[in-house]
Amino acid sequence: MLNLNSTSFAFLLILLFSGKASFSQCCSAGSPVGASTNVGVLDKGILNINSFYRYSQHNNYFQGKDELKDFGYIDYTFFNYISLMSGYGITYKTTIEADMGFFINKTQKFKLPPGYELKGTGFSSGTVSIKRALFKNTEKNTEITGGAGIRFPFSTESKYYNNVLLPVEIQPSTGSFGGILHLFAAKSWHNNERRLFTYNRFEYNLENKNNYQYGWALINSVFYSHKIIKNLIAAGEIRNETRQYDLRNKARAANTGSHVIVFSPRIMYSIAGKWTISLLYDTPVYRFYSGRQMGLYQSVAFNFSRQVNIK
Amino acid sequence: MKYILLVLAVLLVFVSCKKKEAEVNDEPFEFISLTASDTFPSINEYTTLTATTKGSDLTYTWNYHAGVVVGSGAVVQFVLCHSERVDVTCDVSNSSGQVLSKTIQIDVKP
Repeated sequence: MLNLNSTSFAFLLILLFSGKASFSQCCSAGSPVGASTNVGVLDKGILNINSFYRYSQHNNYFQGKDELKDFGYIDYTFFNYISLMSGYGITYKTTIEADMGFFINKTQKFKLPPGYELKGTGFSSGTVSIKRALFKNTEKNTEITGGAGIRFPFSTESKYYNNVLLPVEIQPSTGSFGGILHLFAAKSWHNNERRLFTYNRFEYNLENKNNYQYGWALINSVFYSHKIIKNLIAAGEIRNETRQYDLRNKARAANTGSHVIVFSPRIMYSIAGKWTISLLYDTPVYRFYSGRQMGLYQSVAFNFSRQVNIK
Repeated sequence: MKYILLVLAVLLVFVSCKKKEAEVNDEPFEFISLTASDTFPSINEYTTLTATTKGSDLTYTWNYHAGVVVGSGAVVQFVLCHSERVDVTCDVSNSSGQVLSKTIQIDVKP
């Protein structure tokens, strides 16, 4: 068994090896990162239902770290996305999770012709994963959890708009299967009034039927939350997002691959100890894009979750 | 009288449910050409693609692997924000389900 010192050391290692991951492309509307902070294992018999809505906007081209002024034919891109995630504690140390997402729209607004827009809509993909607590000490409020899962598309067909193929950047789904690895570590103090945790996620996509393979993605987050008053928690997240370049017919696709660091402050409010509502805002603090790509400008998300005991 | 009405009703059902024969489009259907106003456009420069066809009730479907096709129908515009050679394919179908395709290569200059 790990003692607290070795646990702290494990935290340090995870923080040191935290990577990144982003979802941008040439004229991308980007892809959503979840807003949930319930990323550890659930107690046995606990069902967690979590839904979130995210609006995200990309509005300037970048080349490397440099912002390009007056470049490109796209004015800005944005998406509205909703997701539903459920988790269930099978045992004290094992949780099974499933989630699915839907793009209400994933839109490119053009400079020319003025006002012209292309819009993708539809299901993104679903995931099913299993998490296992590698270390869990409720007395010391410490947990390290690992997990793995599969990601599957709801459709492998590309979307069209007025019989014109939508650009890959605003296709709602990768159209491919993939795998996911999670690593989560948390430590809390003062009866969970203060909490530090890190969430690391690696995503790998297989090639889709159009011989396009989205690059792998690595997302590493460090959160700190602090109870302000009864039922109200303030939290901050630094999220490091990296995306490997995409492959088209096994060759590197132009203007893909990026590294973005996002700061995400949020507030969480608990209603009657059953419902939790959180509101967060993402703002990039570092952006590096391979080639020329639309950069993340801002993102807001609203998260709503409920836990019930169905033992 | 009752039986006559019943037979008429059955006949009416059969007549009304008679399967429509598939529409056959006898008009000539031809995909004459697919052209671009400029096959070597610069980055972020629009080039106009025109599908010239013969026939009626035609549907134009556009496919490509990079950049974007703006508009729909027989005349569209293509643009790309980086230098790359892109094949743009136009599939034209008529009401009989016949499909004709042509591809044009657009080489976007750096």
